[in-house]
Amino acid sequence: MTLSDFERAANAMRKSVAVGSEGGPVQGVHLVEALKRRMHKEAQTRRFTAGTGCALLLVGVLVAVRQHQPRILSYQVGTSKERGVLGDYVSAPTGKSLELHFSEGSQIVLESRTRVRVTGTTSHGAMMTLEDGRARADIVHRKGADWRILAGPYVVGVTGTSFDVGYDVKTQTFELKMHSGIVKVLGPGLESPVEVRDTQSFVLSANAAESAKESNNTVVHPEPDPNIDSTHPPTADALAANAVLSGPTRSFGNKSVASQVSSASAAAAANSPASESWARLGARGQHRRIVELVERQGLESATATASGPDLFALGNAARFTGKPGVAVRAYQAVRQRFSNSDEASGAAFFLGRLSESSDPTRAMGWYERYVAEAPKGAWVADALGRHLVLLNGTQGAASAQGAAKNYLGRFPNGPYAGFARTILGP
Amino acid sequence: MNIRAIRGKGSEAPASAPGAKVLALPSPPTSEQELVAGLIAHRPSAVQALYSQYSGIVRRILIQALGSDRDVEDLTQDTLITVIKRASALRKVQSLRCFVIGVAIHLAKNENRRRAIRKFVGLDDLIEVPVVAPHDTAMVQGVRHLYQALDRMDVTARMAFVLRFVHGCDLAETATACGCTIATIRRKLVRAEARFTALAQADPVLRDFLNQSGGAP
Repeated sequence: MTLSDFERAANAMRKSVAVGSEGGPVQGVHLVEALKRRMHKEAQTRRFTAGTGCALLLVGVLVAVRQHQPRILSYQVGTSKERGVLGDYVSAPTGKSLELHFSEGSQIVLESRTRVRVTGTTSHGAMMTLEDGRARADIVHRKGADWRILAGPYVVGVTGTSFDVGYDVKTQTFELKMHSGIVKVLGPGLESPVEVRDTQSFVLSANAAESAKESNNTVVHPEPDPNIDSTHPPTADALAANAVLSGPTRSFGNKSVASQVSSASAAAAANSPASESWARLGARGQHRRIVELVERQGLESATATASGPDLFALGNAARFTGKPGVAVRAYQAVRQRFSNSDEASGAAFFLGRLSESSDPTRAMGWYERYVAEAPKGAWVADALGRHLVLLNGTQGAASAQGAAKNYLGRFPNGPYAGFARTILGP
Repeated sequence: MNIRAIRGKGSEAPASAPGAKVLALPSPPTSEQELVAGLIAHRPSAVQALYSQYSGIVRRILIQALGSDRDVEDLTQDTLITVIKRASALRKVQSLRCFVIGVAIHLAKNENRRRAIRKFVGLDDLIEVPVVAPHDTAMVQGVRHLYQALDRMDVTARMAFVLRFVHGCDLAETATACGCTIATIRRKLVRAEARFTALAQADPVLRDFLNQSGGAP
């Protein structure tokens, strides 16, 4: 019988390959110990694996939760990869536009020489202050989106839309041109929020107190205000005063665009025929006329005899026509002769504004007085904000910490909230 | 040496010492059913019995399948520990031998692949095959050429060759141990043998070795 190659190979392997000795009981004891060690090691491995798995699961859950949490928006300026800093000025160079890119996709394009400040961001939107110029805003519509654009004394509330917004410091003209969607505008002369939609335009000048809404652009011709200091952020207050006290009632579609004339001022103007003239002239925006009348009569005589509302209107008219000295005299007269009136506390605020550049300490004093006299007044947020800016400028950020906390406590979304947070730091 | 011998010696020693107690060692399992039950319970006597009965065949299979005795003690221990751990999954008690061989073959296949990779990347040196007469140059050369030929064959076919022809397992046992059907293992063996024959024809050293040592055992 012939063996196959495999059989011959198997025979050769059996004969030639050494396979060692048989195992005995001693090796068997080693096997028992080895089994115990192996089982112990495997139990450790199982525990480690389970622990690692749980940790990874926990990390995964945390990452998932974090992913689903709304993130605070950030922004970048132009092509820069760096994150924009809240409160910093952003200014478009002359002849060129500049883009602000927000992390959720919204975009603001600043026209040449436009100045803005992003004062705060949330997970729902951002708050921006448009100091001067025009900007194109393309806001991504999201659930719960809440954007605020402060242009002069006006606030544009946005949920998601495209529009052009502009504010001219020199002419104090607010302009809004819609491309799509709806925005709401709030500000002096507007009793309630005004909706502007589709392709409507909205132009409002606080000086001229003119407002209109048409399907096409509306042009107004406000008077210039040389007193407004465009280098100071933001410039809402003086304009607000003018608009609030002088804005006439206007028909505005279904809404009523009305002045928020204080009841005390209105009553005083109505009851005093002598003072009615300046207050009414001011309400019509005829500030130069007021100043001319006072110059004819004589400033001393006018401040000694005019009513509180008239003196207040004179102060405003003097500011708007570039006569700060006359304005100071008029406001001081209001405070001396009508010390407990609304006009007196308002005069304190504007005396602060007029003193800022020449005597910051005195200006801070006026702001403190205004807040004390009118704790719920129309310009409290501005007064505290201006006070904070001056305090930071004169005494440093360390001294301004308390004021910043106080401001944020009262106005967490106010126009100076971003500045206050900058002082408090991260 | 076996467990009974140790117990016998153990019972003699304390008897000569005054006051000493005689301790009865657990008796080893007498049947495969008892052995499997003891392994499932991790009884030391069953573990020792497993080692006594199967460590030899496991060692032989590993050396013959791998062509090396390197790490064979560790691999034998791994095989038996795997058997103990998986004993609860053993349905047929009668197939314990086949199960042990199957685990050994599985480990040998993995080890063979691992060594092939290590050799390929240059981490493993040439492994000398353990031979009965290391000074017999012709035998050493012949065994080396035999394993070189086996190295060029399919791993499963190589394992099947060791079980079927070297250890005399039947086709069913071989197929079970290799994790294949009987038809598959038969086909693999036929192909492998044809290839081996071709390799042997082309290798004069292997041909002479098979002619001289491959006669009847």
